[in-house]
Amino acid sequence: MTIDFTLNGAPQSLDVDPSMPLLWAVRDVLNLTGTKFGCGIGQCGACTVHLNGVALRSCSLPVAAVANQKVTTIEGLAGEGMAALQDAWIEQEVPQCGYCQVGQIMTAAALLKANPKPSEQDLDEGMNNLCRCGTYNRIREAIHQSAKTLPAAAPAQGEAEPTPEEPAP
Amino acid sequence: MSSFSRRDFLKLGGTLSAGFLLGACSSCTRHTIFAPGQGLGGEPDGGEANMLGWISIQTDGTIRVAISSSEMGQGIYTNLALIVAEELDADFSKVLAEPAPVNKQFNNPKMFGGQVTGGSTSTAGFWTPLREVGATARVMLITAAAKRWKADAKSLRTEASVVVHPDGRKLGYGELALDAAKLDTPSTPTLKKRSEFRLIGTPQARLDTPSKVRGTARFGVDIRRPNMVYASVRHARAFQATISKVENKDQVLSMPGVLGVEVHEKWVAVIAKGWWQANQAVKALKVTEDNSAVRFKTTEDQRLVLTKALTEQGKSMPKDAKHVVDVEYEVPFLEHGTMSPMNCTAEVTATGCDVWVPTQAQTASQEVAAQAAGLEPEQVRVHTTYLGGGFGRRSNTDFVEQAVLLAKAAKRPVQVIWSREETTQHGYYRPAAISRFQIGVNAKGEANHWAAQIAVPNILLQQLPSVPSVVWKVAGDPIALEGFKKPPYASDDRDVDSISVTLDTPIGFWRAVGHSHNGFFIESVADEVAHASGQDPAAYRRTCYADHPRHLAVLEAVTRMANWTQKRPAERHLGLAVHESFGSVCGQVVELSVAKDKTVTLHKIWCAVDCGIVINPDSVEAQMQSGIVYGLSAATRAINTLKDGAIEQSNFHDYPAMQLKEIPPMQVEILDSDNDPSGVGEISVPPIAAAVGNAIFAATGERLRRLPFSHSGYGSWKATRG
Repeated sequence: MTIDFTLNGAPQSLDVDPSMPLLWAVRDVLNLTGTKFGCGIGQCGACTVHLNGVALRSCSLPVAAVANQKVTTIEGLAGEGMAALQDAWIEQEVPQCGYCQVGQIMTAAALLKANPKPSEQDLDEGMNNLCRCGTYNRIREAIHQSAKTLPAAAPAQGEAEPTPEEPAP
Repeated sequence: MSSFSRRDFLKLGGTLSAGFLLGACSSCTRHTIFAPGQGLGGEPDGGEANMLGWISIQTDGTIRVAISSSEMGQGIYTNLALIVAEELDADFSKVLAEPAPVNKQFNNPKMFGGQVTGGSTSTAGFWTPLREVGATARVMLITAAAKRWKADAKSLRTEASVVVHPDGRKLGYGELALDAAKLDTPSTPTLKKRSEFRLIGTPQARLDTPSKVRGTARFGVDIRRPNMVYASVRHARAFQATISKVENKDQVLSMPGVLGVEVHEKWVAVIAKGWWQANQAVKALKVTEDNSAVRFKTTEDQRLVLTKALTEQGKSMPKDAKHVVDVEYEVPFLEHGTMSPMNCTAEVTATGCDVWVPTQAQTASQEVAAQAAGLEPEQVRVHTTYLGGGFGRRSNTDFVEQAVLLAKAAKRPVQVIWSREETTQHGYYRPAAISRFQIGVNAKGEANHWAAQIAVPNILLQQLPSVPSVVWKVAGDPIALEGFKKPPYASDDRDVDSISVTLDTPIGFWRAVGHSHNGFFIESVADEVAHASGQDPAAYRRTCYADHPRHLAVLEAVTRMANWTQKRPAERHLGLAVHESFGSVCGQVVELSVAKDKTVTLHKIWCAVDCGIVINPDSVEAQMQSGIVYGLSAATRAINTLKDGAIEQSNFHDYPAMQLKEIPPMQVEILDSDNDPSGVGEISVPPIAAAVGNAIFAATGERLRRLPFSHSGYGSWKATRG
């Protein structure tokens, strides 16, 4: 079955088992390896991508669910006006081992799009990805720093849950 | 001076076209210069896999430094490159760090037995050798410039990758590289004084940060080889179990994408076109396991052995003490919880084997891969990728052996990735331990009777099987006793014993290893002694540190930072701990409050550290924060328990780690020091559980002697921003 969707701004067609999680379609079929496998049960967030601008855990999202939707991975993030977030991440020297960082950045980017000036409490609630190196306080700093430089009028996509279309039979 | 002979490890490579190479292998006859873009370790298809050299200077001025140690988050690529760049007087923006191939010359001088990243030894071990590499290359570049200018070399100086003539003329290192490569390697160069350091000691941007932020950094799971396929493994559930039968192999072989089913003594694997297909298929295998060798079914079975060993050893109670502290402490088994599950990629041919692996143990990986492939170690090229967390787990090579066996069976490159469940349930765990203390305190508040016993499985007995076990019988278990044997609080005639027990759960090196539990034990007990004798915990420690100036300086710094004696809101309480490990001293104060339902709110953590000369202060700060968060997960709720001979927990939902919202602000202060660098990556783990436990005691009067604290009802943790 062919699944058509938009990946990082370009049309993408996949002929895979529709129940394959998006994570593995992106990593093993499309060879975009920035998105990481951590737990497989949507707990850790290393696999976070955007579906229509909303952060979702791609290890638990069947690829069928993205048919005709817009998917963004870390490889496409800078093209979506979020380069300042990554710059802040670099300036704050956030990563240690780095494995969870792509997921953290994707979660932070979606959070900032919906809420350009997040409070500490907003981060408490919204930043729920695991980091075993304990980079949390620098993650906070990077998000606050980028909130100062990102345009406050960034389009707040995905304030509502996405409603993926039913996969074609 | 390091254990290397400098003459052996500095050997100048000749030059073909692009620059020069400082090599280290006296028997190495190949002195090819690298083409731009090739790694020092090289790629197998580049034909440079066995190239040896510490640094390579290209004609465009790029300086490539071979890094022996594995980058697992501690910033070691940047640290070691900075050490070379400092003595070389290099422009650090032109410096690249590249993983070294396996060779004796790259062995860690502070770790016996090869190329290993562990024991917080990397900076300390390579400090002198890499300074000499940089300084030697600098002398050669100056000599080349002097010849070019027909000037006296002594009149020339260097700055940021250029040699400067007294009249102001300059030559870049890249312009001099070809000439410098033709010179003889000079004798021992003069190293800089600390006051001359330009890079060391000032915050530097990490070399690996941009790629980790952009998603382009290559971890083990990101390796892609032509014709590569994927494998997922499933181990026999119980540790001592074996696979006796697989019923539905043919059925699984017919599943989509499946290419092979491999059955081994203790594990099965499915090879498939994609990892998800492999993992679906391996879960579908109907496996019968033989549990007849399982001796320990539950955690309680194991605890009984620990307790029995302590009881047989007996206590040594004080006589005539004014106060007696007679207490028992306990910690559980813990898996490492690296963010990246175990993985390795292997490619095997009749004449060679390549493994791409996130490993802390390159030499051991090479040996294991050679054995699995049926080749000589020299025929195996180990390519170290970035590690998605190490914490000691990746000093084992079980996944390397599997990858090579599977690649051999598949006759094509195979990337094996474990599921999170396999990673959690088939680790090399930080051992469970129980420790008893019998301490007598005299009227002056001195612990003049100090007896302590620790029962714990011996990690080295398992991890170094080539060492005869009699060694540990005679010498004791050095890991059980680290940070335990000579606490600054104990009298000289202390009576301290370790008792090795066998509990069958595989054990290994875990961040801070023995210190991870002994820091908790000793610093909690010190607090108990202070309270039993009516002393302030900081004042008590100050007295005990009279002959421990580094401890004292750390104590003074961290209590000053926390305003230890200042009155604060009634619900807020402080806890203190100071622990020496890996040559460094780390002190922490925790401020917290405890609600009636035992919910703990962390308000702030202060941390002071003496780790000798600091290469990159920003990295040291990050490592202090990192160890504190890692130690907090272990202190608060992490526990691996045994049921039916297997680990009960399976994934992050039942083996949870601290989250962003649970971490308070952390303030780190690094003490100035002229001592050579000592450990950093592990040293902030040992104090944190005690600092938290001591603060909970201050808040509630309840002394917590068993980790995790959730065991005593403290399962809910929050944080404020100060």
